[in-house]
Amino acid sequence: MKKSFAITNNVKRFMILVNDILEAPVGIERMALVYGDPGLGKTETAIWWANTYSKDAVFVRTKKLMSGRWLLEELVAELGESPAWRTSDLFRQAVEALAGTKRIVFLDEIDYLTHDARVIETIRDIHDTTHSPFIFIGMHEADKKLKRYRHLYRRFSQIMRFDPLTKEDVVSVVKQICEVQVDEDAIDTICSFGNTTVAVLYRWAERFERIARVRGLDRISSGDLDNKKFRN
Amino acid sequence: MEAHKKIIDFISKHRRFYLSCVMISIGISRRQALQILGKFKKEGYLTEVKVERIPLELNEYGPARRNPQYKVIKDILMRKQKLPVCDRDKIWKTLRYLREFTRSDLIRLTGCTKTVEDYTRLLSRHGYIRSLGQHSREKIWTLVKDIGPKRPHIPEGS
Repeated sequence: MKKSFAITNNVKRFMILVNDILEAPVGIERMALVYGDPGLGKTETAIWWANTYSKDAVFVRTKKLMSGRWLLEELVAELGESPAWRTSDLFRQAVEALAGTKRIVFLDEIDYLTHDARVIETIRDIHDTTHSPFIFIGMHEADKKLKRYRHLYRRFSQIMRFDPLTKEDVVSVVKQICEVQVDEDAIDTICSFGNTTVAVLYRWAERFERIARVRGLDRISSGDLDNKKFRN
Repeated sequence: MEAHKKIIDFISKHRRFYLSCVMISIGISRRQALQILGKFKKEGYLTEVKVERIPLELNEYGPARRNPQYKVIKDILMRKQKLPVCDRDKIWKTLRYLREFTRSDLIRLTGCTKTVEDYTRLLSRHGYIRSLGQHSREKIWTLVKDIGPKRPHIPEGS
């Protein structure tokens, strides 16, 4: 299997969103929300983007029990500072490290923070003070949960939903990662199982290559797949 | 940033000094001086040798403030300023986010190929990551010692 990151329509839209946020002129908010079903590659896309296009992007994975202080502490540590003891100092450290820079902050699993208005409003405060780009990554109903915070929601200049993969995406991903050729009827078979995510396609690519190796094939068609055996 | 530079300049001229000396000579608050010196201490340039107490002034309350004495143990001028991001930085950053990963995941997400194998082997040898088992033909690794966003310093060929 080719060890390369597969570019789907979702990834292309994500790249456009991040570019728009980074290029936003003063006066336009630099917050964005990315959400969608699990397994569609939201977090991996963000990590890949940070590794490929940014030298100093910050990635904070939020936790269910996270308080405002805990979040600030993690953010300050990720920004390369030594976290101070007082919450007010932590806030000041975060603002000093972000202000005037284009450091992009990814907050993963943002749904976990929606139960606590103080934490969410703290992020808004940091954004308002520093005008730094913040990208929230959430689960499938993150937009509805965040809509409750109208002042925050108003600041999202971009909202993007990671859509389930289309057949076109599946063909493109399989072509990008699989080292054997896969016929269209085999692709149809994968799609017929439903719930096709990028993670599932990586597993399929592995199976295709194994079948091709064992049976000495250079093309995989639906006849080579034992549907019952491979159904997820 | 200005305070940072002034403190580095101060440290480069002294071998031992008190916190209060830094505060007075540079003119920064106690809290800011403590934060910056704490950072340098964590990075291994300074060590605390003894702690004295500053007697409280009139109208000051609470316990007497600490006035640690620091000793320089590594030349602060050797402290590297933001180096360009290298493959190892990318790999360390990615494995911290993922926590559980295979080498393929790292290659896919960082775009580094040969470095991944070498670096994961080194990290495993030094106890930063551990193998959890195998998925098909690949080992699954987990991060066991997270020392923060800066990658651990592992000398070449160790």
